[in-house]
Amino acid sequence: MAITTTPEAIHERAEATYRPRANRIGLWLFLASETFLFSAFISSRFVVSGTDQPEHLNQGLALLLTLLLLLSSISAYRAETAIAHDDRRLFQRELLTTIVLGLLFLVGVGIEFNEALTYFPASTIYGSAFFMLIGLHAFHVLTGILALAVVANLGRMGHYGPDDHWPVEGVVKYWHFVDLMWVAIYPTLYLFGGS
Amino acid sequence: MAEQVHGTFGRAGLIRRGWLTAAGLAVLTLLEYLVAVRIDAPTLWLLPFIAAKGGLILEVFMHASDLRAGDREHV
Repeated sequence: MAITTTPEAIHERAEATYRPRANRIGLWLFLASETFLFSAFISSRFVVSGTDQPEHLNQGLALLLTLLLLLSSISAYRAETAIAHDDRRLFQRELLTTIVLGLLFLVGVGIEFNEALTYFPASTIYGSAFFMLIGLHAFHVLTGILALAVVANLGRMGHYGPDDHWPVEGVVKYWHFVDLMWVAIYPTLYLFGGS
Repeated sequence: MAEQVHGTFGRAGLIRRGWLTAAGLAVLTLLEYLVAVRIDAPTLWLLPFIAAKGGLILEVFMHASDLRAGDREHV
């Protein structure tokens, strides 16, 4: 088989070889910078109020929100695995499931905000840390849902396949990152103060 | 190509691995909650749960080890 050796062909081969790796490293660097942002907000909670927490936190709702995000992570994982194995129907279904679970999470956060405003308004010390941290995380969930919706729409139009699904991998990784941050936020806001 | 990735896991293996991880995360979350409500000043007791859950998500869901694997194919 003849191998083309024009500069363009060499560039294309190098691009195909190194681009996914560069994308992946770029995404991890972005996620690392996001981790610093969340770390700053999480540490501010301990600076302003130690491990104290109000009595009126809705523990049941927080546990439900945690389980919702956990379920959305497994559906996102299944979507990524499906497209890697060219199962487009399962890919679409699992992405849609992830989006719905993400929206349910946001509804839960809205309910939580409504309750929390009654007991510890944003003007209180714990309230400011609580609303900033939950709000920051909810914003990331919202952007994750939007990104998932874009990828789902492109997938519906026939984009992506087993050898070409970097956007799916990227957005799913971002979604897992949002879940990862909740793993730290949940005990920080709801559990460290004990019962 | 996709069948070769993540060691010897095939598609069914990858899905099973995902479900087992999710089940592990759910169990850890419930244990974490029980520890928090039953122990006074539980902060130190909760840190291992955070580390374990974070490690599982990073390794299984986010494929963090791919960073070490260089050019190896993903998923």
